[in-house]
Amino acid sequence: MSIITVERKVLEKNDEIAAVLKKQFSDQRTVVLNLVSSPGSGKTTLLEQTLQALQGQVRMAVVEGDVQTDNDAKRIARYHVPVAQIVTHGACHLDAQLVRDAVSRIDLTGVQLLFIENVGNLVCPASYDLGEQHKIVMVSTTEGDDKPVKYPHMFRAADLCILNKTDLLPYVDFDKHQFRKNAEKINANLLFFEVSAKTGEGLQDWCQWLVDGTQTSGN
Amino acid sequence: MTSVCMHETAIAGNIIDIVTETGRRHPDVEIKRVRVVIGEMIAVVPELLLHAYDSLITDTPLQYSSLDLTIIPVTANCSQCDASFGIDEFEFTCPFCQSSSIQLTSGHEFYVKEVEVEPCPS
Repeated sequence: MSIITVERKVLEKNDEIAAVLKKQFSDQRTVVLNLVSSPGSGKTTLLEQTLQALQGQVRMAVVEGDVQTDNDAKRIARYHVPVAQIVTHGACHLDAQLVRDAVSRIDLTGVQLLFIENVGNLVCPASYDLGEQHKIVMVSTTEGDDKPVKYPHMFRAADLCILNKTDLLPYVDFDKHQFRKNAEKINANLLFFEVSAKTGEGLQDWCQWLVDGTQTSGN
Repeated sequence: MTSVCMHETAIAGNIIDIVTETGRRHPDVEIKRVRVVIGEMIAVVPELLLHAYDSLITDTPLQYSSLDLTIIPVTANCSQCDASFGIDEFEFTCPFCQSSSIQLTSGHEFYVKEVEVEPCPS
């Protein structure tokens, strides 16, 4: 028995493509946000509200990732922004190659903000760099406030955390202080936003953060 | 299909691609064991990865190989008091001074280290 040294990163192919994407986005001065959550947390609804609120102010585009159907892309298309749908046919996450194919189908000229809505899943997308500037993890109040400790990899990989459906807080057992404590235990640098994508509560702070982000990127 | 909601299948595929390429450069040997180093910060379930690997190598030149995983625990260094310590249960706080200003020193590794080979049976 003899040994052959390999020393190659398992995710090297993904990371190489992600680096190309990162350079492309940075050259175009496009801020890219990778939005992850469990299914049903309200990612698409938050995007719809955001597109509406920032219409005419920020040039935006969306890449929608789903296991099946282009339902979400259809919802987004109503806001007249470039949108590309990725259907993964069973795969539980987006990878950099899928994103590269998707962005080649839309015109990103002048786009300041590109949202990538990942497949609803708090495990698998944590491992994949999509060339984004920020991973944003979203949790809704109808889920458990222990989500961060159940999915520590994702909360560690993210740098922003959105708590959605705050309008339901009086009706559910979600303890938002405990939630925040749990999340900070995993990642003390997380930036938090509390929103209700349904009522619009908290959206102003979120949108302001987005606008500030596009301005520091030089647009 | 077992691959639904299991990125370990995709990851096993990446490992197989890397090892197959290594095998092509050494046509006179057969790969018996593939050693992969994986940090605990990598969101991969070892058992699922092993299972996915075994399913994917059926009827391929790698069919007689096995995957060997070395798990690297998460360790950190405190930026406040300079202590070094292991992270248990994803508690990212210094156990000595309770600061959360810490730098991870291991746990993000994820690479194919080496392969064990034998001369091809002639």
